[in-house]
Amino acid sequence: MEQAALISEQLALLTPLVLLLVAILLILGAQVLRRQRLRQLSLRRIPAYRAMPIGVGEAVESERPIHVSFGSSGLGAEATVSALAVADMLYPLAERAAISDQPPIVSLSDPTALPLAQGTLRRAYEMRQNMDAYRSTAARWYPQGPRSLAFAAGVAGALADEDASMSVIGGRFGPELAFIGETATRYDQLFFAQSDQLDGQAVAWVMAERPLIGEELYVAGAYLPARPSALHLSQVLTMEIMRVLAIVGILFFAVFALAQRMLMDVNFLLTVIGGVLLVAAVGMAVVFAIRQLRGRGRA
Amino acid sequence: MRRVLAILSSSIVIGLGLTTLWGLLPGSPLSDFAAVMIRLAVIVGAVAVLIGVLNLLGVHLRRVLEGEPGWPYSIALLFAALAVLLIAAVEGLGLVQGTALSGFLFNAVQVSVESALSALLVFFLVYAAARLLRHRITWSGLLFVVILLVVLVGWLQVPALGGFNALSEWIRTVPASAGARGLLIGVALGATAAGVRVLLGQDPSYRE
Repeated sequence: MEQAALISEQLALLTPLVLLLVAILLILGAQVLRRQRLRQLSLRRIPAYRAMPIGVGEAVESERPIHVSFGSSGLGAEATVSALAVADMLYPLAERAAISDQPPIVSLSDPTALPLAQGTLRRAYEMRQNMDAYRSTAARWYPQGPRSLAFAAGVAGALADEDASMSVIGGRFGPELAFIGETATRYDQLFFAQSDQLDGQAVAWVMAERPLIGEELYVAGAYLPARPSALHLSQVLTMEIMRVLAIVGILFFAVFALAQRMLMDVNFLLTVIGGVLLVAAVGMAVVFAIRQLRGRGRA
Repeated sequence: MRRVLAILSSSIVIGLGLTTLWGLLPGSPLSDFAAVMIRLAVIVGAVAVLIGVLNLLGVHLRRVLEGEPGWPYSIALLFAALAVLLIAAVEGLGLVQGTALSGFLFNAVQVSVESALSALLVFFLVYAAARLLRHRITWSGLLFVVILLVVLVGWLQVPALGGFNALSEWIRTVPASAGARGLLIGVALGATAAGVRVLLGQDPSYRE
């Protein structure tokens, strides 16, 4: 027990090092991008971010509102960063929608996200110089109740009543996300969803036409604006580098643990070799079968 | 002037953020300061609930005044909210002894409604899974449905389905668990990078 506490304390000391590494990568990346004017990087394709601006355009043309939800993300708790990420996504969408008389509907269940949502909307309307159309009540707090179900049901009702054209859900959601998704499907609304909770993410993947998976929420600032800032692009690069480091680290420790065990146990070594050969044989058979099927299709 | 205010507020936010972060590390001399800041955040959160209630009342009052679709529901909400506020205030001031009507109302209405919604949720999810194949026949969709069926069948405690039970258990503990960890690592990386970007103070929102 004491050893576990010691390891936990030592790992906690790694936190500032990781943060420092991320900060250095972000600053270096942004400087390189600024100097070399490489702002038009070819980013990995995320279908949801391609479809969102088109959806906003359709909403403006049909004079229907768009809906963006923060879920139970709020400031000052664990979900602070996801709340900021949703605000990053809301800003470019609201900026496009601000030319219309229909303000976006922003729903949230953590009241600390209310000033963030209102501030983001206000900035977007100021940017478009259309403050006459801005309403502070466009950002709405729905009390979440013990399991957020009342919140989701309330938002679903509002989406149906106000005939929203598109719904973008991000941040902290559980399976209650299904209520909003079901309403979006029933009323023929575009539906994009993501959650930083596993159960919510699973429901989002099933229900959304173009789901956002995991960390894709955090890069909205690099994908949605017409001219993203160098720092947002640098964040995408930093995330890719950190991802590669994490994968290499996991593989290294897995191979190390496997090698250690194989050296101690010959039977285990033979089982691993047999397993690898079996997986390779099945893989080759699948590839061969797919090629045969494709060949027949072409013929 | 606006620019000076933006720089000043950004400096305060970033300075306090970094100091609190430092105070949260084990053995930090600033741990008391970090605790005070966290308590302050909790108090701000409590005040935010009040702002939220005012926002809720404002939104629904506007719906009623402008006759927007569903305005009768807004009237019901306004009456219910004011009635519960009144009851809670009477209880809080100690004008009524020995009753907890607001607690009873919460349990009788809110908890019951949420339980009913929980039950409905199951059907929504099953219907969504069925619809997934109707609209989007992809390899990942097929894999999802096959694994869903294997896991559901594996949960049936029938001796003849022993193989399914083992397969279901393996799917839940190995590939599903690995996928979940992968997702969580991705979210953690994204949150770290986005959080540090905000702390660097170069976010466009700081300048406006």
